[in-house]
Amino acid sequence: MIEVNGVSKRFGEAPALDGVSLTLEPGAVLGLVGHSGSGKTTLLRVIAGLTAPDSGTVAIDGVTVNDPAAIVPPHLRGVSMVFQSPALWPHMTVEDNIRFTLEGLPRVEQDRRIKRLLSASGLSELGSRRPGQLSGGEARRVSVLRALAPGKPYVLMDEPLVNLDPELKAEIHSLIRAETAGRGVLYVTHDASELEGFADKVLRLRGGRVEG
Amino acid sequence: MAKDAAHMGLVHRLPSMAASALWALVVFAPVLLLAAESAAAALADPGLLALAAPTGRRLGLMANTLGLSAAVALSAAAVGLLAGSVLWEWDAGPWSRLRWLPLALMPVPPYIHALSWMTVLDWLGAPVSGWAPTFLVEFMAYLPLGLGLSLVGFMGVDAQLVEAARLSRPDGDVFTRVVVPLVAPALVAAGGLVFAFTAADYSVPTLFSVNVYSLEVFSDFSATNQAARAMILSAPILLVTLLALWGSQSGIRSVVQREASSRPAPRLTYPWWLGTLRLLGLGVACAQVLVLLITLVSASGGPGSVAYAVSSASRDIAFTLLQAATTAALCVPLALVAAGRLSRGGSAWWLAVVAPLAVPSPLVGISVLRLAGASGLLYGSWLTPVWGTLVRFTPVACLVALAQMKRIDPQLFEAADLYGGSPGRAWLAVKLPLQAAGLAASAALVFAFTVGEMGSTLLTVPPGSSTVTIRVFNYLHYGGSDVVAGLCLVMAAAMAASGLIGLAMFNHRSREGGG
Repeated sequence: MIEVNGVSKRFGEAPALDGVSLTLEPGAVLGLVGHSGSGKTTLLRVIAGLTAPDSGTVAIDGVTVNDPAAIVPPHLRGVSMVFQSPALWPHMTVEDNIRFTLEGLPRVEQDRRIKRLLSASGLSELGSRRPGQLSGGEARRVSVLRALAPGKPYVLMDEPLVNLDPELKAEIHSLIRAETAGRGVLYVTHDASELEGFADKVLRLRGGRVEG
Repeated sequence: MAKDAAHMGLVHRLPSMAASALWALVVFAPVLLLAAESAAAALADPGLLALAAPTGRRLGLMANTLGLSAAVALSAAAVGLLAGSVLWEWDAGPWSRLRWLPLALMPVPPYIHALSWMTVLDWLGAPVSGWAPTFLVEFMAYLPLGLGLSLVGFMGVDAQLVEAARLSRPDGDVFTRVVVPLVAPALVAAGGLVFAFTAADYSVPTLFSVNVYSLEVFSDFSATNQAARAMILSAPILLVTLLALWGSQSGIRSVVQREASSRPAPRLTYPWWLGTLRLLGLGVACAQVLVLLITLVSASGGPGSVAYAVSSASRDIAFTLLQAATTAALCVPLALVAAGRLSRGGSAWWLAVVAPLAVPSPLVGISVLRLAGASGLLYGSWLTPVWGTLVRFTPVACLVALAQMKRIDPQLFEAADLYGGSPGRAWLAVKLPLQAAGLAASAALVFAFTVGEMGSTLLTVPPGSSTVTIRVFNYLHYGGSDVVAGLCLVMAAAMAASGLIGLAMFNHRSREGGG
């Protein structure tokens, strides 16, 4: 379970998060809706360990991960994340982008997972391509696969469908639904319709505070 | 109608074509004429071609040159990477203003570094001749270039790519497997340029009694006064430096055309060994600045001695300032033309722009002297050395102008074309003001580099005139003195100030115009 308790973060004078508290149960999908600048991305970054909060705590499966005496680094928090942009490493192929997240597993298992995910998303032919050779939709799908491949128990999704055309949105949305089954998902978006029939619970973030 | 359009197209292209022709005339004509003369001489006397094949003693000189250049290039790129990774994080608060300081001495020529390190080595009781001190000084002299390009590479890294990797792997892995490959083009550019500059420099090797190939070219020309011989003799080193620049061309293109990332640099937690290496790298970069300043200040003998050194060299200083200011002013229109052409040009244009950087400086001087003499154009005038420094540094101006141009929203140019009325008005009212800071930065850097130029100026300076550089270099052969140190201190300060002004202008317009 991810427990966020009273987390605040300011950038200069502007509060990005103001005493945010929420809980994400394992296997549940929690939707977080908010306008641009409401603090959605900052909250995900704090949970992932990419931004340090000014105050408050984040606990994952009972361990406080932002305890100043023993900060848990991002790769050991058991979370993966889909960013707003695909953020694929341009010097690696599609396969290598996914393989990077699987190190520590036997090579055979890595190959099996990569093959299955690429096949499930209709990208089997693109494994040896570089990100620069992919369309926008293909790159976005690969970024989702990269986040899902290591099988971490929690997945953070930061507007994964932003700036996509409706057809592609539907395609990637169904991929996310299929591949996140059984994991804790925190899905932030400005478009509440993306969460219909998917999220178990929806919260609203406004001015750095959680409502509803 | 179609005929009118074709006519208008030609009218629009004419200024650009004329400017390209001017670029070719100023930058390439001297070396191309010398190459043609050399080919004719080789046809008349095929025995001359033997000079182009390094054998015997010259083979040893070539090996010396390649070994030294490779060692300096690798070291400058490696330390540039380590120190650059620290400076990359200085992107906020008071540190952000300090991060360009280790680059301040980029235009300071290697022989001034030589004077400083001679003092330190002497004080330490270490040998002041041979390969090791030559390597040390060349490395320290070109480290700011390696560090500067590395820092530009780091600043272009998208922080989100690094953060995505941090979710999967420890930060040490993220640095070596994601950050370093993303910075690699900048390191390749740094390695290629440092290799070419080291291979073309003979000022430091001669001070430390090391024979290198470019010194052989200079000595042969001094002894025979035969330009064709010098050109043929230069062929192997020219080929090697051209290959180095060709190999690093994609890196240079990537660095020049890359936009700085708008996100702050991620703060990685490095393993102890990597953290230690990074701090060592930063320490070496700081030593490069501090050693030079401390030794020059302490050896100069105080303000009175510096004032005496300056007054005794006032004529040379005046000539140097005239040469540097004229070169800086003339390189601006050439840089503007070439940068515009480069921004939409292919590999051939890129090679054409960077190729002059591969030409050893004595060969530039010889070729300019030859063309000036053959045509009667500018021969024996103060403009002859200006021509030499234009050939050498216009490529630098062009790359800086292009890098700044790439940071300006191209839609601003397109809007000017759309609403400007005439091409001339669009250019004067919008395009030129947008590029002005980049061009000023180019001019400031070229001014700084020209002040320290020696290889070409030594051959082209008119009788009865001299530059501060030549005066210092001549003094240096008799060992350091307070006069030399005072002059070097003044030169280093002028070059550092000019270089920093250039960097500040570049960054100012980048933030304002390019976002």
